[in-house]
Amino acid sequence: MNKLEIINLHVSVEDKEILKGVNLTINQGECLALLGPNGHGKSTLLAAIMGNPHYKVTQGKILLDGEDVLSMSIDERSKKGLFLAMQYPSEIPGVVNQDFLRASMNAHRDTPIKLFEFYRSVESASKKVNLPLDMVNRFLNEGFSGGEKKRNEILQLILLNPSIALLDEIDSGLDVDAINTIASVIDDLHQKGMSFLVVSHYARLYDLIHPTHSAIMINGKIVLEGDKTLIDRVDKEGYEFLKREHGIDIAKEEKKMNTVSLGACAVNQGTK
Amino acid sequence: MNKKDITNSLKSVNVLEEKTLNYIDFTKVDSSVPLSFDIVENSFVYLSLRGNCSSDITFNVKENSTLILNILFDTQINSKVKFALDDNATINVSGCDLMSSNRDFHLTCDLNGINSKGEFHLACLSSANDNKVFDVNFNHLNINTVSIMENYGISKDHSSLSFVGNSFIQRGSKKANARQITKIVAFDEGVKVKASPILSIDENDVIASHGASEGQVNQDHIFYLMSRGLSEEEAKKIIILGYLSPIINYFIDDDMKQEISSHLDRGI
Ligand SMILES: Nc1ncnc2c1ncn2[C@@H]1O[C@H](COP(=O)(O)OP(=O)(O)OP(=O)(O)O)[C@@H](O)[C@H]1O
Ligand SMILES: [Mg+2]
Repeated sequence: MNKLEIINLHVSVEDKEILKGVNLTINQGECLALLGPNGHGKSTLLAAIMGNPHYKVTQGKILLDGEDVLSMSIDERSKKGLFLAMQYPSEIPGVVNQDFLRASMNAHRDTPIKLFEFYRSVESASKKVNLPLDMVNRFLNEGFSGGEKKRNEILQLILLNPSIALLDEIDSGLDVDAINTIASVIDDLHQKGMSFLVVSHYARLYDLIHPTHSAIMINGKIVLEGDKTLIDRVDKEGYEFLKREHGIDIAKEEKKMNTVSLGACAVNQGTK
Repeated sequence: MNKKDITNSLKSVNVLEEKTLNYIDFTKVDSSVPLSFDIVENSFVYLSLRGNCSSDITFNVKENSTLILNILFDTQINSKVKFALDDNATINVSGCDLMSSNRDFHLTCDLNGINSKGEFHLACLSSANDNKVFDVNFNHLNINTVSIMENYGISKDHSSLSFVGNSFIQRGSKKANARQITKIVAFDEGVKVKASPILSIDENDVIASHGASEGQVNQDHIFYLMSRGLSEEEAKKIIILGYLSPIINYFIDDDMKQEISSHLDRGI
């Protein structure tokens, strides 16, 4: 088992509702491709699943094997087997990559990992993602190139071996060889039973990792689910067909100038 | 390197010996008389200080000489340290202050000589009800003089922490180069932090820069670390360590290095 269920999820950022009732299920061993135009809420969904405090869940449920994920702290979610490879991984100066890697591996074990075992795992994982081993002595992501950051995310994926991996545009900024490298790692982990929720704009990645399902998010809702053919269609035609064939409006809902809230804001400041 | 404890012979020593690690432990002596040391021409001198020196200490750094000074703030040090640098002289001063106590530290470095250069690096943790003030002054009084100031601080609990960095460039000190970086993280709600970089420049042909930031712990950093399984406490700890531990590289004495690193490991 390792089933992730998202039920009627509503999420707001700074009082603006971004997700408006998302329903999705990922079963053990599945690989779900999540597509959608820019700014329609894909990263928001992944961040909310992982528990990013910027994103407030106002309604709905997230269940992992029936357990309430929303009541878990961020680190608990990680320990329960969730992993998020971020679209924009943080650069954390002063924190040495390998100290961080060891601390995070230890967080997932009962007894601290032996130094020798740690180095062996890091060495092997670095090889798999084709990242020079000495990157582990640098500060975490600081000054890493775009592609190096993404490889470092996958390095962590290998080392932490979660049951469900959420990958947010893991292929952006990667050169062609790197996409192949990363995809083969993903494919390999998928074969071994890891479940995936993968956000990408490019069929190239999906061709290499063989998603079992696909879904399209528009304006904070899943509007269409399908299989691999849906990805190919979007790749060829874009999202226009949604409107033509399904009557789904893909224009982003722009919030109009809201004089009421401006007024309220002014009052708030006045009473401070 | 040979370590030479000169704590008990302070009255007779006024030239610091080369190629040894000179060491003064002010916790062991009462120093109410001002001290003055010479770093003779063409020499390279190390000195480690710890403990409380209640009087002023002056270093005269002669032509072509270098002084590497490490200060471990492990008691209530409220000293004034002064430096006068001749041509081509260099000082590199590093301080590590993890101790909970009040602090009022003043450093003044007169870059009198051509090409003279002064560096100051500090890592400071202010906690409990500490009130810590660091006041560091570099005076560029000749051409090609360089000053570099790097302050990293964390303020926790109800403490306060303030850095005043003063870089003065006198008219005629062409090609002078003054840099300051100060970063203070306000760790808890109840702290008071202040970074005050002051550049007073009376000459056009210079390079001067300062970056000062006072801020909270970056929430995105915490989220990133926690999403990898670290608890909030661990995440904060590793961030603080990342802030403070690079100072260890500036310390020469292995015992002090060890002490700082174990203090960081256990105490935050
Ligand atoms: N921290 C934030 N502060 C303010 N607005 C935000 C924040 N995060 C997301 N948003 C807004 O929420 C909306 C959805 O953003 P999100 O990042 O989820 O889109 P996305 O589907 O991942 O887009 P892309 O394909 O460009 O990565 C956007 O309008 C974005 O500007
Ligand atoms: Mg996104």
